[in-house]
Amino acid sequence: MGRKNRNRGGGGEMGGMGGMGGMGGGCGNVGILGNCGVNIQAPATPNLDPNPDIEYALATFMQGSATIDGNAVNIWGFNGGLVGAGAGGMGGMGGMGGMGGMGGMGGGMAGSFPSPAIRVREGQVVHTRLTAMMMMVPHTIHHHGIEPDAFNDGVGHYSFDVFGTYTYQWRASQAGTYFYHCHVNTVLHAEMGMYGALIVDPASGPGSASDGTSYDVEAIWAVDDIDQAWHCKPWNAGLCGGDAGFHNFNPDLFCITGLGQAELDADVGAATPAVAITANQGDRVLLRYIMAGYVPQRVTFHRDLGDVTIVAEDGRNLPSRRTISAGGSVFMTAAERYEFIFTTDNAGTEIPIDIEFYNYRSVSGSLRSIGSIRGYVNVN
Amino acid sequence: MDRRKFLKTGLASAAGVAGLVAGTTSLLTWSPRTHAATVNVNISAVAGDIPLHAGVDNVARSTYMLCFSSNSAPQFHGPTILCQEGDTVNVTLNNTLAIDTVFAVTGTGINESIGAGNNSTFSFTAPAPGTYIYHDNQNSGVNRVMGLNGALVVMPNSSNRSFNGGPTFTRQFKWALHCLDPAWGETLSADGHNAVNSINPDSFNPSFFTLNGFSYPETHNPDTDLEGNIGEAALIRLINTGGMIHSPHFHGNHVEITSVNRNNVTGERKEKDIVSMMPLDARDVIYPFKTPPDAWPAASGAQRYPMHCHSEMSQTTAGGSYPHGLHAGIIIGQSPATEPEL
Repeated sequence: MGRKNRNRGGGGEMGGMGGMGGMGGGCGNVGILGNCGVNIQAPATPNLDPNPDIEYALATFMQGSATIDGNAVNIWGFNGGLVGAGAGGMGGMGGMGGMGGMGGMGGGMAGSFPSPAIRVREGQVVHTRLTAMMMMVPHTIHHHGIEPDAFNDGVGHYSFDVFGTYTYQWRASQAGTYFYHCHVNTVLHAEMGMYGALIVDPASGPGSASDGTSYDVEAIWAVDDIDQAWHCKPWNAGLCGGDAGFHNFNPDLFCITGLGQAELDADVGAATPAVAITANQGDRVLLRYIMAGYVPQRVTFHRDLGDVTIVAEDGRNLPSRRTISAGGSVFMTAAERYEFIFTTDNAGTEIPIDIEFYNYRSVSGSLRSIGSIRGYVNVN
Repeated sequence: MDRRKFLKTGLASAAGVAGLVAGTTSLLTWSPRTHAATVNVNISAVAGDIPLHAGVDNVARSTYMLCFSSNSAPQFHGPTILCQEGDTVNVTLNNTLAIDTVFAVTGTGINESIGAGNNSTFSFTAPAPGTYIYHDNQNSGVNRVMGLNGALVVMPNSSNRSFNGGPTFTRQFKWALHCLDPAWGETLSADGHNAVNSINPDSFNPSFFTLNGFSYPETHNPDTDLEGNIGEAALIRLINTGGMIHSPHFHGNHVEITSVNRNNVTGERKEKDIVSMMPLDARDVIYPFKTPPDAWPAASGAQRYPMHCHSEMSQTTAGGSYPHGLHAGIIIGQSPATEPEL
């Protein structure tokens, strides 16, 4: 019953329904049905549109691991991707395969952190097909900032939690930078990594920010804080009451799109960096910034990046653009999103974008730094 | 159950205080005046036990708090003072605490100290229209977080908007965001009120998170849940009286930011699904009650959503019981059976 083992994927834990007792957590309930406040269903989608414009299939995994600043961190998330045009779809099905085996260690039991991006265009009718089977644990997808009807909003306490498969149906009414995340025991599941970027491009497709401004280079950063002490708890920790420690968040790792400082420092020197922004002199860069953490962040752009313009926040274009003078910063709180645009007039390598993290507790109103991380821009 | 009844009594009393002028704090019956009036407010600074949310496992518990009360019983939060710009507000403050208390108002020079055990009356002229926090500002905020706070809402002259030229709305709500660390209550209960002077504000580690004094699902009450028909915009006056940086997230509709610490937006309003709230912040937003824009096909019938703080620690009670924390309901598509009071 060691909690640390539950997420690490020992084959014995997956040996069939017997393993479910362990997953029941501290409530003394066996299986998924006895967990407080969880409303498990897998209904048909009301008014299912037989011809959606785009469809994503995502399956859950709960035995992933990420290396963050050299530390192995247990990760949960979603596998899969776009259906049809090919890429990634099989990843989700891999998750299904692992489930079917009940004890196998298929590729579907682990996945990337963060989860794959969902990318659609303004005006499209979207299907997000969630399959939550792994470890017999229910999950949902909430498309954060997207505002569908309540049935498709992915919040169990107002609709249902998915065990099985459900297709979320919605229409992307406004271009913008969003993200998606699980909304079951959110305090834990979002912390465990169950989120990914959600980009609604303008109807014209990628190449323009939400307000129509064209860009040469696009980057998507999801910036997160991690408390390793939270990363070995059962999925339903605290749902039936008791003290799971969820009031007490003390992040000791920080990451940009899944990379800690050590990995970012290696990434920036790679031939094709995954997170570091690579641009030519004079390029216009769009940085879609997803504040994926729980504690406040302050983002400071190095002066060599020049003025930085915010064109959109939270999936909505600003009534008037806001420009941050060179070397300036932006303070933000949990789950905000920003579209930053800057022009790389100055050549240089490893031009920093620094993010400071602050304690969420503040009685006096003053901010106490608890850590920082540095992302990079290379301008050739 | 008992707690809710208890707190509702407190709120009703709060309405009664303001009612000296307004009759009720509901916007539907707020009558703008062309002239200034005199508002008399009675507040007691009292200490005592306040019930804490029981959580999913229904654990009875309470914490010791210092309170501004409209009667002699502990009350969390203090009564909402509703007035109109230019009004003369006479506050009679009966300090039953063993320590001095302060009545200060954010964004103004109003700052009155009342000695331990003293009963004092002071007056101020209601400042510019907007949402304010009155609070005991001593000890770097410890006194405020211990419970000594409330809302001051100033309506404009001759208008039922939140400021002249501001947006129209059908209803207005006050949302006080707060959090509590029972360890602080134990310290005061054991060592006396003077212990507030020695509490380190940086020791704060809250484990109860509230909206208007309630945790989900007790927030499902007419004064806190947002409810309205399509097109019935609501003004929400968010104040952060607690000791945590909050990040309220609205489902269903984005909100329009209308005022940030009484700096009013007179042009086109920024739309957000997150409203960042530093301690002592007051932000007014419009929840437009539009048809959910991304529904396919268009939503029909009442739609129920949450508003929750995305600094998710606040979605818990005593370390668990998700989502029993700073979380309210939003119902788009039906008018409330009972109109909200501030």
